[in-house]
Amino acid sequence: MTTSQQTSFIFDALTADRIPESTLVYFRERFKNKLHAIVLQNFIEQERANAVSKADIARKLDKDPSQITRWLKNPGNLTIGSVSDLLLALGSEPSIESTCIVADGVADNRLPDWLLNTQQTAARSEKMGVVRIIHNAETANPNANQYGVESMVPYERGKDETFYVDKWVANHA
Amino acid sequence: MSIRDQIRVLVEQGRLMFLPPANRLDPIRRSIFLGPDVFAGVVGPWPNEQAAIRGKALRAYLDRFTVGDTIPICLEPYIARTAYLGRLHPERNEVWDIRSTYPSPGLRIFGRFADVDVFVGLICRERLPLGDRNSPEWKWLIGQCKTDWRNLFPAHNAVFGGDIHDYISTNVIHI
Repeated sequence: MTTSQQTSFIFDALTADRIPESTLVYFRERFKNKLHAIVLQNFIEQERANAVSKADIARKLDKDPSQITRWLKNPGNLTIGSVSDLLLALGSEPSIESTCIVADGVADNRLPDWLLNTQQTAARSEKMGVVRIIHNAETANPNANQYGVESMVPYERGKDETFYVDKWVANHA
Repeated sequence: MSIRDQIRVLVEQGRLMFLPPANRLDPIRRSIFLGPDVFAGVVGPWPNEQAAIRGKALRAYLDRFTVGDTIPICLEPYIARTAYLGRLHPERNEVWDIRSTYPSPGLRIFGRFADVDVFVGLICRERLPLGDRNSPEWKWLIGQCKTDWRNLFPAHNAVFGGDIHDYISTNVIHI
């Protein structure tokens, strides 16, 4: 099956002395999109519960309703301040945490589960048998240092990488 | 043969490419398939850093779809021109565009839904030179998108629906 064969630009960036501007842009845009998605999800849940409307938010923030629509339509219209304002009007505030980036320079050939037919999935399972986790042995945290020690965990059908990382952490806690 | 089986064949032939999220820890909850030219623009290699910035900003935008984050979409043409995804006029064509607005000039990826949560992007263009939505360029692009679809899926129509959940199963808002 033909997929992308190139190595991760995230890995390239982490191993470079200087992070390319384009990769900085990727993560800035990713962050902005995540913030926007959080605001939208909050709004959907409140709207579904009939707890709030765009007009309510506009009134609370003393803004024109069209401004609220603009904010909800596109992440490009948001600022840190407007995210805070919108969430507050929805009775929330952002909960912030950071996560270590895991990248190992291996080409990402993942496909959606439904695209792999039964034979291919079985063949992949038999062929792989294990999933490689690269981690920092000292901290026992596979997210801590992606250039550290390798471990293997048994392959399980249909699981993503987070599953294996969590499993490894649980086994070594 | 179902349309998903047809996609499998097209991926095996290299006529469509699946775009996984750039971060390998991200889940895959929806699917974007791109034609080879569009795919190359998103994943590189790029001729210069400016093109790389454009490509990676677009990748971040498309990853949002694939990982299943909440997105705003608009079924009615002309209403929400900067919503993440919008259906173009006339609706019966079932041609959509993904609107990436940063950096300027913005980009549009024209395509169709093959199934719920499965988008096929066929053409990518800068927004500005396309002019007004009634311009000959827009009409040509929509026609070209339909032609490309027919070449890839001669036996299958694109999704045709009246509700956002005909296209996106969850984490979606109609703007």
